[in-house]
Amino acid sequence: MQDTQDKSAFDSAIRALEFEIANAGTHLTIDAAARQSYAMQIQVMANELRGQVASGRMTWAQAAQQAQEARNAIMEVIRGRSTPVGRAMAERLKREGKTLNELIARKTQQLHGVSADFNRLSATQKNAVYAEIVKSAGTSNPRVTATMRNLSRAGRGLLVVSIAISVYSVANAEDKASAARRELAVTGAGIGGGIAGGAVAGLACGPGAPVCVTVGAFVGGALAAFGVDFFW
Amino acid sequence: MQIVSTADLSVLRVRTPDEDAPPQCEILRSGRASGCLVPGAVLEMAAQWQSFYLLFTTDDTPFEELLHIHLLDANLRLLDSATLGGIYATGSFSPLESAELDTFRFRFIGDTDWSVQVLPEPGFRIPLWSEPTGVSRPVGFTRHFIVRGQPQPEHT
Repeated sequence: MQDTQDKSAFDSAIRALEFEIANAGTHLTIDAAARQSYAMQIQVMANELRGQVASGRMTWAQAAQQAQEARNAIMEVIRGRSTPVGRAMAERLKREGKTLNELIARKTQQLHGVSADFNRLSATQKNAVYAEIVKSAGTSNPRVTATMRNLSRAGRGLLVVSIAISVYSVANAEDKASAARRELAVTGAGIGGGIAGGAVAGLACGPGAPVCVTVGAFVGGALAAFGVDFFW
Repeated sequence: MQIVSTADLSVLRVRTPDEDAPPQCEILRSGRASGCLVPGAVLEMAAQWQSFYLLFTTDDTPFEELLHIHLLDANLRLLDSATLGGIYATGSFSPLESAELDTFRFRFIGDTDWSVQVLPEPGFRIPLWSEPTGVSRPVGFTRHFIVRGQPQPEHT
């Protein structure tokens, strides 16, 4: 009797661990994929603008202006593709970006010295300044990208661990087909519940509250997984 | 704090074969290499209080900028560092007036006035707890300067 209770408690603890590992792994993998897409999209955008200037369909000044607008638009799209936790991380600090004129002044100084005045530059020099702005718009911060790359590896590792625990559970079950269906349903519910829990916590706590959203994702994942597990 | 001119302290970006590597720069004193490497590519400003130098560097990624704060001693030995900023966000550095001699005030991100107070001796800190939102530091229990600010989230 005692042995059965102990085994049940152990199985329950293992399942709880498995759901949360799968939940965390999925969150990290989605956000890392969004980051990869962001780095790629801004690079494509900058290359396209350079191509349009090269083909004479656009001036460098127009390309610089469009690069700034497109970069911000891509950033918004990618934030939307992130998990609630990722979005909360991105929104926790209000942006204070440079205006186009401030960027022009900064790039002018970087290219032509601290005392350089953009208005006194030749047309070629001005185009070089605009081209630098387009180049900057196509560049993501390498430090952030490197961190996301590490988190992506961690996310994939967690998913592998979660799958390994699922395989262990199915392998030790008497009715393997039923156990496999249950694993799939419960883990899926845990992941879905995690995303939903994060989104609800985001609404409740307001924007840019990553700690609250992470707790919401954790609790939502656990509740959904245990709910499906209980009624299975 | 006293602003240090770029003739006295400047930085030179260290070029690496890997273009995707996080940028690093070497601090130059009067144009001469010091051997001290710190994260960042562009020197936004340098200030001095007593024998301490406070350096603010950025990664030259204006659409997703991070601000690195470095404290060095008189021999340009790195005493402490912190980074301000976050993913899919950017800031723009501008100095502010400060009445306190040991404190540097500035704007960067989060619609707030930030300040950095230099401590004469390292003080205690609790990792992940003692810093305002958006400030990250290497793991440890001490800090040689305190970063203060009340950053606002994106949609307020």
